Amino acid sequence: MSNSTKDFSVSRRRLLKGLGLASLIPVVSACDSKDSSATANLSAPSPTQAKAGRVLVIGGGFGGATAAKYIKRGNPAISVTLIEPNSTYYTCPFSNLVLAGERNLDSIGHNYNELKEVYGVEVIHALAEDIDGANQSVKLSNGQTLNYDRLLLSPGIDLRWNAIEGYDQAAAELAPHAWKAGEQTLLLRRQLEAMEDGGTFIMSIPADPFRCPPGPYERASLIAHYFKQHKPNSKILLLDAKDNFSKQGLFTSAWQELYGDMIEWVGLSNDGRVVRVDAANLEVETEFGSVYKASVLNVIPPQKAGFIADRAGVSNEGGWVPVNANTFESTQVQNIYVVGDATLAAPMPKSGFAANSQAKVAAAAIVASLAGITPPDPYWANTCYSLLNPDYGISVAGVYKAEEGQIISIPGSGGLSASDAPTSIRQAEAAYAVGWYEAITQDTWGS
Amino acid sequence: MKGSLRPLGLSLCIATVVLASSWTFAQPPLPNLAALQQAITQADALETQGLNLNLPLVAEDGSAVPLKVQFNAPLAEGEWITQLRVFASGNPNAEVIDFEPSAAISQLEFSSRIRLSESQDVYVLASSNQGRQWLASRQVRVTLSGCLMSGDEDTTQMGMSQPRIALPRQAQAGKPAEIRTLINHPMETGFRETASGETLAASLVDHLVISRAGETLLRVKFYTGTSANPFVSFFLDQQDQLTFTWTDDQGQQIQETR
Repeated sequence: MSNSTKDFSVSRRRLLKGLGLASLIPVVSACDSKDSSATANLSAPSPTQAKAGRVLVIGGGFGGATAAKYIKRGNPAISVTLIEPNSTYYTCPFSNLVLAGERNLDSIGHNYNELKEVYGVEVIHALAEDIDGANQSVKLSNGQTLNYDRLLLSPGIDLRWNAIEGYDQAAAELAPHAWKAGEQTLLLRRQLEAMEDGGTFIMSIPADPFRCPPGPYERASLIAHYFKQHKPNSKILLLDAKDNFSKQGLFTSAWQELYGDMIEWVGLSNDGRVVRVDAANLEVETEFGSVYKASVLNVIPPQKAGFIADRAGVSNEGGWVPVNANTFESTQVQNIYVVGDATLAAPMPKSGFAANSQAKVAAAAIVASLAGITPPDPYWANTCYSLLNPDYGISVAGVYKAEEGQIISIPGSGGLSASDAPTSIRQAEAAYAVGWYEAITQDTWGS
Repeated sequence: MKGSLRPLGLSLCIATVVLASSWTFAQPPLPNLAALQQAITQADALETQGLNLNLPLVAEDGSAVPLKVQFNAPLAEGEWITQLRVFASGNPNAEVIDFEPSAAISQLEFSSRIRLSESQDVYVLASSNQGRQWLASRQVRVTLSGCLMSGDEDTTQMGMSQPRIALPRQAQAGKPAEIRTLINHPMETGFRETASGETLAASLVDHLVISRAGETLLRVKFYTGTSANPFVSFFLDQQDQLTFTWTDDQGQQIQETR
């Protein structure tokens, strides 16, 4: 843990140094920008901005909002437009606390006021519907077509409907995924509240890779915390398409300690993979034919990069986006940078922290490339905190660098919470988790 | 005869190009691929069309990487595929799993879960009863994702137990349908050490035979490269009266009939 903090501060310094450099160097690269008068451009950049370059950012989550801000911090003369359909973004981190009734949804909502008012980012609340990588233009749901010199995509995930037989958008209204925070979170919360004591909460968990690897297990923990207080005779059954999961030893021993036998986990080798969902009857069937009936059913389906990645031509046959490790530019389409859960960035996990860290690297690379200079060497950091109850936290941390075109975990960096830590450490880590949330949302959205 | 290193390397390069995937051939065959070279009878006559090896580009957990092998090239009258052998160039032991179908299997599509100890090229070699061979390869990057550190030791589990079989729910007679099977077993490789430095003895399920009325339909041979709790999926035209027999390396057997 101390290693990670130290290395991260080094990476921040280098990054800021790179960004500072970029903003001092005279701008020379307007030659490669497209003539923006060629299409109906409702928000033509000012002459200085046209010279410094025009960047479009699609997606206002951890990756997109951070990138928009840090491009402006790197060079305020660059025109930056953020395209995001919603005026409030609800974070997946801490949404499990909403499910447990420990927070309300508003407390995990963030808006774009800081980007607009402090950093001069133009924010358009529309959906990006199509991307023409050859002409460097983006078509929006409001009819606008915008040109760019550099495009940054932070598309997040799409759920693979029907990858599990019977689990489609209609089924998600009966058996919520709640894997994108907002209405789905509230729906699952209402179902948990309405459930009678003695009911069974079933969660179907996908194989890797998926958004937030420890998320399902934190969710099970916090729902157990809610049940323990309000519905102590209830059960939680986790049906998993994997045999190993994030922080497994820490989770399973804490479950025993905090919740006795309330939580049962069934892994892949014991027929845990759900292959069929009957949402109307709240039933699931596994690979080898076991059928389970739930009182409340939460299906976290397999995932892929958000659809706009397909429209841009940056995703591969596996549904995820390969990127240049040094810059997070797409390996398939020039001048399109992609960050966050949509990317193939392993060993970095699909987490909000990773998206924020990747966005800073991509922002520095974009600022440098528009200035015609070489971007700084990238470093990334990530910590995944998980709460076993509101006063019991655990974490896994990592620090990463690029080597020979691949992202690697820096040997000896990061680490996992000790398995034999005293209660005081678990309490401290729970407090750090709250501190982390406040810091990263402040950094990303300024709120 | 055995293919020498050079012609094999060339054939593999061709294989990579013809597969129409974006994989570049990263390295010449490694010495531990002797097993693959020995299995190749005519290195200069290897075919590539119609043999597909499906693996994820990036595997975040090398202990159970989903594998699918498909074969659909045209075959001559009286010709059938007798073996589809999977090799992993970077594993301590390159042999991973062999599927040995009988002529009775019309749809050649087999799945399992395999172990990859590091980023590497994986190969599948198909052989017909008339001596023709096909080769396909894929590169897989194996990473342990940051948040996947489990902090957990494997639980100790001994011997074979809990055979599971899933027959298709709505099968139409004469139309191939998928059958899945799994047996619990640690598939101890003999390479692992305990915390005190003792090497754990190898212990493997050796093979699985699926038969009907004494006639073998499919034999699957397992190796150290097969994941713990060996899983196999395959397709049969007729899914009734099947006997599944697992045999471990001590000769112990478990049999199930469906």
